[in-house]
Amino acid sequence: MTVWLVVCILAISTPLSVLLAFFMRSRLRAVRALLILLSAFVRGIPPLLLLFAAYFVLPVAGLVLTPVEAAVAALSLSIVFYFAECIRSGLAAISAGQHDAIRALGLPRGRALRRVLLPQLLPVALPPYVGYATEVVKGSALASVISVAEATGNAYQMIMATGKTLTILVVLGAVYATLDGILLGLQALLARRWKWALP
Amino acid sequence: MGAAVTFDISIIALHSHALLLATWRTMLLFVATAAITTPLALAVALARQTGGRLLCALAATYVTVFRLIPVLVVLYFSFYGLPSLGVSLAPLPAALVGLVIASTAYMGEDLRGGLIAVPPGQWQAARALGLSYRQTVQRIIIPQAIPRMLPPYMSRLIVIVKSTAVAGIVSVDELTGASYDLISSTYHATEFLAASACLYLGINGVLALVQVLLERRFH
Repeated sequence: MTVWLVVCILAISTPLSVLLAFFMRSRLRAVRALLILLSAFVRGIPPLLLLFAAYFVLPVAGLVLTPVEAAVAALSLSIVFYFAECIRSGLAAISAGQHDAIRALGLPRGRALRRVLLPQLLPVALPPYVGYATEVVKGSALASVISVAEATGNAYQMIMATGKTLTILVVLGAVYATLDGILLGLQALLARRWKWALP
Repeated sequence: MGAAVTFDISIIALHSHALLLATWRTMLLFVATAAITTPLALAVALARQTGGRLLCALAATYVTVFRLIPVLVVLYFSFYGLPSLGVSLAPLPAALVGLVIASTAYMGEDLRGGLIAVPPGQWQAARALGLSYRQTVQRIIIPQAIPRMLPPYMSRLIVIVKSTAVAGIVSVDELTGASYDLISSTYHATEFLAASACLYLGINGVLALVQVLLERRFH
């Protein structure tokens, strides 16, 4: 369940953050200001509070979500602006001359993206992105509070049932460390494959 | 109009005392965590930079392990796990211990970034001048590292404010825990969540302001 939560959250927040990052570089000042304000607002609120908001407030507004849906919605919202900031800094690292050069060479959009823009964007954006992805793994533990039966929630039930507190907590810690380790390992693998400096 | 959104501001006024008390607890927890974490984190960062091989390896292991585990799990350890080791703490001290253990790992890395930025020649020069380790760190290294440490340090303090919310789960009556209780007893979720969101934003806003002022002073 923890893995499922993380996959859902990443699948929703990643494309959304790319969109937000592009809008944050919009030519319209009002759009930029609004998004920067929204970003500061959302990043200033504890994820746990967002979780309660999705679980308690949305039903009042007529939108009843299951605990899992509420957790995915709230945790996606809490992380999406962090992702957007990574991608924005990646985009900022590409100099304006690159866009002019693409046009001057007459490269088609798809190939320009694949061969010119992404190779420059990813080395800058990927390490902080993976860093925040591990925050998603760890943040998913909060979903247990609104009765989602993910790793921490199940471990809590087991502690209450068996009283073997330390053993269960050590195993639980190892589970999270492994999940985060897999993400960090993927990053190291990609970095080596594309010959970037390791973070 | 059964699904109409209602927002009854008077309910906040009615329970303002409980909310302010909870805000006070949140601030207390945050200040205590920050005050204990900062020197510990500096020690961890120094151990990784200047300690012997064993000390360095210990510090690195500690930082890696606790940065991979959710804060909630660390809090479960200090709240449910420590009693089975024979250490029973009240909820607030237990939460404090958990938050310090987790935050020290993160802040240690933040401060290490600032230490790395000081050129190694500064250490050698201080040694050549016959300064002791303590004098070197206090008078030479820290003053140069502060401008580089400040932005990540202040961001970390804001993260700590937000992580105090997790203490609400292990029955500490801070802002999030108290809001949860008030929601359960009054069924006015929107009002209390909005109120506590504003209070968090207020605390974090003050921290952001302090950052701007400090950065101006140190540049």
